[in-house]
Formats: sequence, structure tokens, C-alpha cells
Amino acid sequence: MMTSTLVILMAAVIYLAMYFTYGKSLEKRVVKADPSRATPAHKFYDGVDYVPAHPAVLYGHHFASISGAGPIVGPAVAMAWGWLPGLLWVWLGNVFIGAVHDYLALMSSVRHDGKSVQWMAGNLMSKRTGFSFGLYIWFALLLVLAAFMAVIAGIFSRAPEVATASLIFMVIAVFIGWLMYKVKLNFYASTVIGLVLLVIGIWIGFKFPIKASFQTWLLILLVYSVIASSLPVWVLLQPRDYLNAYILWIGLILGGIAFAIIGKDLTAPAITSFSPNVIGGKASPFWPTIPLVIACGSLSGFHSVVGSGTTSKQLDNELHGLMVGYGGMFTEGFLSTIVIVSIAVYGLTVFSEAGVNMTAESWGAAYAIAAVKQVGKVGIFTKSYAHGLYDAFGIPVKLGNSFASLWVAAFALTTLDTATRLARFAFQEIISPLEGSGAFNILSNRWVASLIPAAIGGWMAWANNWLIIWPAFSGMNQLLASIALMTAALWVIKVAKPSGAWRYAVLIPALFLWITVTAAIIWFLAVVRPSPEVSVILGVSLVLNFLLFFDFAAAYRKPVEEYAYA
Amino acid sequence: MHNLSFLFYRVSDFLKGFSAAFKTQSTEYIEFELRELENAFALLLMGSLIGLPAPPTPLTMRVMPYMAREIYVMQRRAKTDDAMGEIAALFDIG
Repeated sequence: MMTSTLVILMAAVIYLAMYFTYGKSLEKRVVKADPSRATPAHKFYDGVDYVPAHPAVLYGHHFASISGAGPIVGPAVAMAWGWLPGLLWVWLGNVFIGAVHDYLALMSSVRHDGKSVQWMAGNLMSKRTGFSFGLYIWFALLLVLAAFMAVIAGIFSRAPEVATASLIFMVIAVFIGWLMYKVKLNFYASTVIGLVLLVIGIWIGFKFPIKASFQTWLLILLVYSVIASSLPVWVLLQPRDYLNAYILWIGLILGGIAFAIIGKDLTAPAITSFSPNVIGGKASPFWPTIPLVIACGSLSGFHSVVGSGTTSKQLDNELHGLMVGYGGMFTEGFLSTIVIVSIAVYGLTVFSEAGVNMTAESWGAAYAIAAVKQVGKVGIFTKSYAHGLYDAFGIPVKLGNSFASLWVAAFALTTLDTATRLARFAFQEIISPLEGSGAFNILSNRWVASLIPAAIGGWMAWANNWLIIWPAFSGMNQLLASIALMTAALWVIKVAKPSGAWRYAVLIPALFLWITVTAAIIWFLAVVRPSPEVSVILGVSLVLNFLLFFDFAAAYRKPVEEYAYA
Repeated sequence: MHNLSFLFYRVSDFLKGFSAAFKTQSTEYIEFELRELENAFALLLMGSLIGLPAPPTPLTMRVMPYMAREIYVMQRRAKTDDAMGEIAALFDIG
């Protein structure tokens, strides 16, 4: 019988072993990392963008940037296939695709003076590719808003105490921001005060829960995201993001230790069926639809944008890249492993506590729908996680649940806040051809420009069709990953030129991912038939995706000599 | 013994760096906004180059030497066009 201890230990062993074998080989044979080669941080040092950082600083910062609510929510829903398929997708996806993708995006950028992956795509393939790449991100933004609004409204409507705690957390963040940036109180003292207040906030949450429906919360979140995205960053966004980093690490370490020491049997079925009811509540075949459910925990396209955008400009030494890029992804995979293990151990208990009749036999057909509609897609994880903390350390289940829910909500709120900010800039840019007209003056107003994308996001989330919105968001993310990986593959074959079979170490995963994600989105559009706005976004992305593939094929056929100066 | 002290040094070095990562986390958004404000300031001073109303020329000339690094950074940023990566790093999506 598989126990939680065994899975956590296996994860640790696999990650460590693959880091020192496959990861090191990638470093030596594919990237040919050379500590004596000057990195962009040294070559272009400017004290602003290009600054060499301590590897641990860069690792911590890169991990905090790539990790959020995504690696928690996706694997929790993928439990419908049973714990084994999800776990394998996370582990194998991490080792052969996700971590390779992150590491290569980082290192190819380092070799190209810290240029972004969009730039690389444009340079290695064609100008059109670079443009399509940018367009993807704009589309993804609307789905990000919809998916994360639905996540938060779901948590708050099911756990009113978390709603109160989250609101108090915002007040605490504002207070800490004031202490740190205005009063200039010692960094550590402010942090301790913040964390103590956070515990008090959770306690007040239990005393004064705020009860409201899913739709009411959506409206409140709409107003929140418009206001929060217009505030100066130091007021709320920065201090909350800072405290979030502590919550993330505390949650990860506590969970890791708890599930390693409790040694409970995994009671959920290992495998349910090849096609349980997941996406849109319809029978979803594991291949190709899994990347529409597990995105960030296994591989994520956003990482390439982060890795090549900011991390590559701060790498002190080429040898640090493996820990930051490859190791950062493994840490995120470990987080997803904890999510899967916690539900595999306590999922049945949580369902029975919620009064849902769930058995190992009915799991495949009913899990995803029951988890989303009756327990909550986040609730199923937070409650299972809380049971783990109780069995390991005696932390009361209610407290553990509140902590874990706050953890997910806090990250999702930060995402909402930043995504609305970015959507505002994007929208102002999109309407620039109207400049000079009266409509432009109204539409480019900061409040109007924030309200429009936030309202579109809220409107898409309104029907609470989470099993449609999330796969659409994941699909966009995974398309981005497949394009970034193909760009990396091209770089490896044409520029880095490793010997023997290592030429294909990136090409094979890249093609596998492209085929899988393309098939998954076609399946999604044909079988699930999402609402018109989601279909349009995904349809356009799919067309762009084919364009990119043709660009890739054309670039692949070009002789190596043409890339000599790429 | 030597190996042990080396290991201890490596671990403490990692932990020190790691705690510094939290400090970075507490200023990243502010730094991003500062950089944007610096760009805006440079544009204000050099506005005449792109047709914006500029401050009096003698004033611009006097501030110019202090703007050398800023102009250099701005030029390079215009070439790399990486605002997206920078914002995505602040995204927390995973």
C-alpha cells in the first residue's frame, strides 16, 4: 500500500536524482555552461536591470515569481483521474518538459544578452512569430482575470471566515507597508509584526465571518481589482506580496514535513479510468486533455517569460542557472506533489464531512463535479491539507484550513491585482488608434480602462463554469509553453549544437507538447463547446499556434550557418 | 573537518542569500515603478527629441550629465522591449 511518506520521499529522491543526473547533463552537454563566460549581468551591468545576484537570492525570487495559486488548483482537480496519473504528469512533466523549458528559456536568454523569449522567437523564427507571441499574452490576460476571480469568489463564498481574514490581511499589508516604507521600521521587526497580525486576522475571521454568494463576491472583486490596480504599488500590492512569500514557504515546508511523517495510506483510487468526467463535466481522455487541467505544477509557459525577462539579467554565473531554472521548477512540482498527496490521503474524509457520498468506485465519474460544486476546487485541497497538519502536529483542522485557504486567496488576489494593471496598459495601447476622439478620452481614463477588462473577466466567471474557464486559461498557458520550448529547441539545435542524441532532448518534448496541447484545445472546442467568447479566444490562439508551427518548421529547415550570428 | 566547515559555509551562505531573497521580494514592485518613473523623468527632460514640450534648454543642459546612465538604460530597454517579462515576473500565476 502506498503511503504519503513514501510518495513524499519518492518525490524528493526523484527530484534530487534527476537534478544531479539529467539536469547536470543538460548543463554540461546541451547548454555547455561555462563559469568563465561573462553573463549579461556582468557584461551590461547598469545597476537597474542588469545586476548580478547571489544564486540563493535569484532562486528564492524566481520561485516566488513563478509560484502562485496555479500549482495548487490544477492538480486538485486532476485528482479525478486518480492520484497516480496526476502525480506522473507532474513528475515526468517537471523532469523532461517543465524544468527543461524553464532552464533552457533562462540559459538561451543568458546567451543572447538577456533578451526575452519573444525576442528570441522573433529572431530565430520570424518577425511574425514574435508578434504572435505577444498577442497570446494579451489574450491570456482576460482568461487569467476570469479564472482567478472565480477561484477567489469560490473560496470566499464557501469559507466566509477566509473572506474576513483576507480583508484583514489587506489592512495588515497596508499597515506593514506603512511601517516598512514610511516609518522605516527595521525589516525583521515589520515582518514579525506582520506575521503575528496575520494569525490574529485568521482568529478574527472565525469570530466575524462575512457571508455572501459567489456572484456577490464577484461584484466585490470587480470593484476591488479596479481600485487595487489603481493604487500606488507600495500601499497594498508590494507588502502583501512580500508577506505572501512567507505564507508560501511556511505552507510548503509544513506540508512537506507533515505528509512525510504521518505515513497515512492513500485512500483515493490510484487510477479511476482513462476518461473520467472533468473538463466541462464531460468524459475527458487523460491524453491529450491533462495539460488543460494541470498547467503550472507540471510545466508553465509563463515561466519562460519570467526566466528570460528578468531572471536572465541577474544571473551571476552560468553554473547558477541549473539551480534557479531547473531547481525552481522542481520546487513548484514538489508543491503540486503535496497537493496530490493530501487529497489522495484525506479526500474521501473531506467528502464525507461535506455530506457528499463519494466512494473509490464513484470517484472517476463524480470527483471533479463534486469537488467544484460541493466542496470547492480549492476547499478539497485546503481541508485535506488541514487534516494532514492536524495528524502531524495537532494543529486544529479549522485553523489549518483557514491558513491554506488564505494562502491560495492571497496569491490569487495579487494575480488579480497585477493582471488588471497589465490589462489596463494593454487596453490603453489597443485603443490608441482612436486618439484625438472623445471616445478615446473616456476609454483611456484609468478607471474606465481598468473596469473594462475586469468586467469582461467577471462576466466570463459569472456563470461559475469553472470547469470551462480553468481549462481555457490552462490551454493558453500551455500553448505559450509549447512555443517557448520550440524556440528553445531551435536554439539548441541551431546555436548550441550538442552532440549525439542530446540534440533531441528538447526537440522531442517540444513536439510532444505541441501535439498534445493542440489536440487538447481542438478536443475542448469540439467536444466541450465552451461559450462564444472563450471559443473565440481559444480559436484565434489555435490559428496563431499553427502559424507558429509553420514558422518553426521553416526555421528548422534553414542551414545551421544562417544562425551563426543568431 | 575541512569538508565539514566548507559544507557549513555553503549552507549558511545559501541561507543568507535566501533571506536576502525575501528582502528583494519586499521591494520588487516599488523598484519596477521607480524605473518607470525614471524613464518618464528622462522623457520629460529629453522631450524635445520626440516633440514633447521640453523644459528650458539651459536647465536640460545642466541636468544632462546626470542622465547619462538613464539614457543608456532607456536606449537598451527600447531595443529589448522586455516590459512583458518584467510584469509577468510580478504576476504570481505559476
